[in-house]
Amino acid sequence: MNPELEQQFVLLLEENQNILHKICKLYAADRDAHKDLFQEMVIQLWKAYPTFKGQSKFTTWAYRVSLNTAISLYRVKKRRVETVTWDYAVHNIQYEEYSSEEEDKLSYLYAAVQELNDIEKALVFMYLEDKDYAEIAETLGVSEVNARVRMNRIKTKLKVILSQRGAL
Amino acid sequence: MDELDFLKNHWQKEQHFPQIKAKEIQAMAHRSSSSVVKWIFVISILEFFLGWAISFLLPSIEYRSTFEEVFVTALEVVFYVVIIYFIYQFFASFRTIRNTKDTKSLLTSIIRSRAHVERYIKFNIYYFSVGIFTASCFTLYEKVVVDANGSTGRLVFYVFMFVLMMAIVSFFFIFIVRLYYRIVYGLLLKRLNKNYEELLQLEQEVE
Repeated sequence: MNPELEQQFVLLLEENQNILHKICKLYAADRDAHKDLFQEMVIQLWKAYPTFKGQSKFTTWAYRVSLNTAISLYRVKKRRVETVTWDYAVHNIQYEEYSSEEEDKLSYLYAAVQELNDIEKALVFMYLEDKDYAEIAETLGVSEVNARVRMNRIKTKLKVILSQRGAL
Repeated sequence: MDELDFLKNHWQKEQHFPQIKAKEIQAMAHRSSSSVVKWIFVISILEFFLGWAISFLLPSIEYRSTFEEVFVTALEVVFYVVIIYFIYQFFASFRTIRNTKDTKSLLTSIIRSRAHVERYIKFNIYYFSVGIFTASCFTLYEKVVVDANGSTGRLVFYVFMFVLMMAIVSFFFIFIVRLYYRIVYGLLLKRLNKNYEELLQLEQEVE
């Protein structure tokens, strides 16, 4: 493989690696799974990189390949119990500017998002990344209206999960 | 502000992940993938070989008539033509799997290439059954005409044995194939199918 291309890829990815970490945060149940998924995403991105011609931004392209890896390609290895999932979701949060009430709310929210299914997580991820519905719909291969409708349902679903936990 | 927007505020600020160095990313990129698609490819290739191996399990018979020879040869020709068609279809659809597609198209292309292999396996089982059935028919015919000599007792015995053998072979194969698919689907495709169905369902939603 072209070493120049490889160098370019590695540097771009190093700079934008938080995209991958954030997806791992939603899809991986624990630290080992985070590492596994991160690595598979790097492999998939590198595999696809020669076809990346710069028609779109590197990040837009990376969102798509990485989400595809998390949703369709990555093989989940079951090894931990569910309580660890919870710990992991909560552990990564940095709370510097939040009140204790807000801290609790955030912890519950992260845990609630973990309970969504793979497709819903993808929608939430792109929403959190401030992507518009056109881009969300295009990435998932659904219509914009449907993406919007589902997003509203997710918001309701999250409310339900939170109120069940007594966090609302 | 709703819950998700509250989370969004935090999400946008949160950038505290352990950073992976360029050298490590480079090493990662060259590691071997353990993706579902890779497993599907390996398993499919094994299945193609298995299908091919099954054809050797068919009892080799000495042709007792020209009709039998023509019939069996025709079956074999059909078998190889269909096998080549399935393998071609599999590779053609496998080539369309690209991780740069939108999620729905990617899932569709994975499921489609897998479906070719499933059809191939089903075809092999039908072919195998037809092969066993044909060979048994020829044998039965010979026994009835040559050995039974008009004896009703023997005729009933042969027919009974024939039905029993067909039943055992059928049950055995159905059992093995079901078990196999349960394992393969359970391990590889369950999540993929679930996500695909979720996307289809998402498309049917109206406000």
